[in-house]
Amino acid sequence: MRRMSIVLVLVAGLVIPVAAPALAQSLEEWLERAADAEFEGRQVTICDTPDGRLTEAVDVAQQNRVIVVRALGGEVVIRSGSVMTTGVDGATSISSVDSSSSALLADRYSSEVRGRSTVINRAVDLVEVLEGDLVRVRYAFDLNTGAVLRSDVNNGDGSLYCTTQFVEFRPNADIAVAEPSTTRELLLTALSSDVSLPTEVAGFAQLDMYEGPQGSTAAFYSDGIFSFTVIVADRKIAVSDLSDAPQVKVHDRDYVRRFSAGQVLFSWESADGGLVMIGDLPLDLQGAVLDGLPQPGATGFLLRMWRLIFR
Amino acid sequence: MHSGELISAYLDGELSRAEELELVVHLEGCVACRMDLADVQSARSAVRSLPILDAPGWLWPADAARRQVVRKRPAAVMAAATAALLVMVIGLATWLAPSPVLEMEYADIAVTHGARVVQDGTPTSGGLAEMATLIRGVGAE
Repeated sequence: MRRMSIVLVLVAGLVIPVAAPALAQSLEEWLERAADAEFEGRQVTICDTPDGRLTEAVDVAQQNRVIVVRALGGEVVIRSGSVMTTGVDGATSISSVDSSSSALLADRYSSEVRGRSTVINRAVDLVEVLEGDLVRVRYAFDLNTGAVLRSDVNNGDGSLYCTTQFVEFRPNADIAVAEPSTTRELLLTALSSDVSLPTEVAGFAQLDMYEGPQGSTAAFYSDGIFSFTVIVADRKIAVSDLSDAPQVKVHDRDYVRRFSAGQVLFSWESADGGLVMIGDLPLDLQGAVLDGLPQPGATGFLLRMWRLIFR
Repeated sequence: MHSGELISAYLDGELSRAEELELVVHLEGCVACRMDLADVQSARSAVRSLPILDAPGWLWPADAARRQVVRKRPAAVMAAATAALLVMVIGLATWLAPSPVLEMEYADIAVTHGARVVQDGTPTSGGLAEMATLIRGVGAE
């Protein structure tokens, strides 16, 4: 009996230290550990959208908080403070980012650890992000490295929106980044703008504003899990590659919408000018966010005449 | 001036203050004149109470009326035509003028958002898949 007790104590001593961090960690700590993870592998994203199922695959490597993403056509290198993209033709851009603040996890979210499982034969901790009774996101954190091996994002009705999972995964990446021969610089510097956008939209906080493409103004919003950027201009915005994008009604308002795997873009014209919203929002949050932004408005004869005369 | 003429001028308000005073003094001593004044006053009241009728055709020939209308129309027509022309010119200029449009590359929008997402450390649902869009956009340039 004494021998049995000793064995149990030893087993408990081995198991509890491993299991304890999983129970003690907050969601922020899980995500922080994932950001520090070092690995390389191939990641696939599959999303079910109103426009059909979309799939995307990329090769990813992360080391010392530098992320390299490779796909057909080039690579993206993400460092602290910059994003560098390299295309097959040598075209390159470097985006310097001066972020004024980081997102805090919105109050509506809570998290629960749901035990252990395996993803591509690797042990993972399952953590659910809850929004009331709704499981909004289910993360599978690699037990060894802390990387997110799989994430499932649900819509407001509980249906699955996007799944992102590694299909190949190797710990301890060794990143070798080739320096680009040509560069195109895009500075994302925080600015104070007189553009009127709400500071909070559907539970998403506006973290900062900066100059967007072509002299527009961009505002970044996040709730700690999802995020989106609103780009505003004083005239209509024509986005390339949207010629075949469908015009859809969201809450009886007209928008042009384009899905890609894990991302959605809306474009519309309000009475004050053109707007674009791009982000990783699930379907129900798309409508909620659009409700809180300047809405599609009158763009008829009188407005055109007004802009012609006074702009 | 004969008293009859003075009475008519008086009723028309055409007498000067001095003439009116003279007439009133005269009427005080002239019964017939007061009766004349009463007759003229009642006759005028009867005429003013008559309804206003259109002039009979024989009194205002058709061609004369047409000439009258034609003489009145040019100003109104010209004003209306000018206004219509002005509206047409402004409208045409508005529609023919190039609509103010800001051209943007999809890749630039993805870069703008993606770069900020990475800085924020927000775990996007699509992971890094959106970066693939960015890569294709750059590669397509």
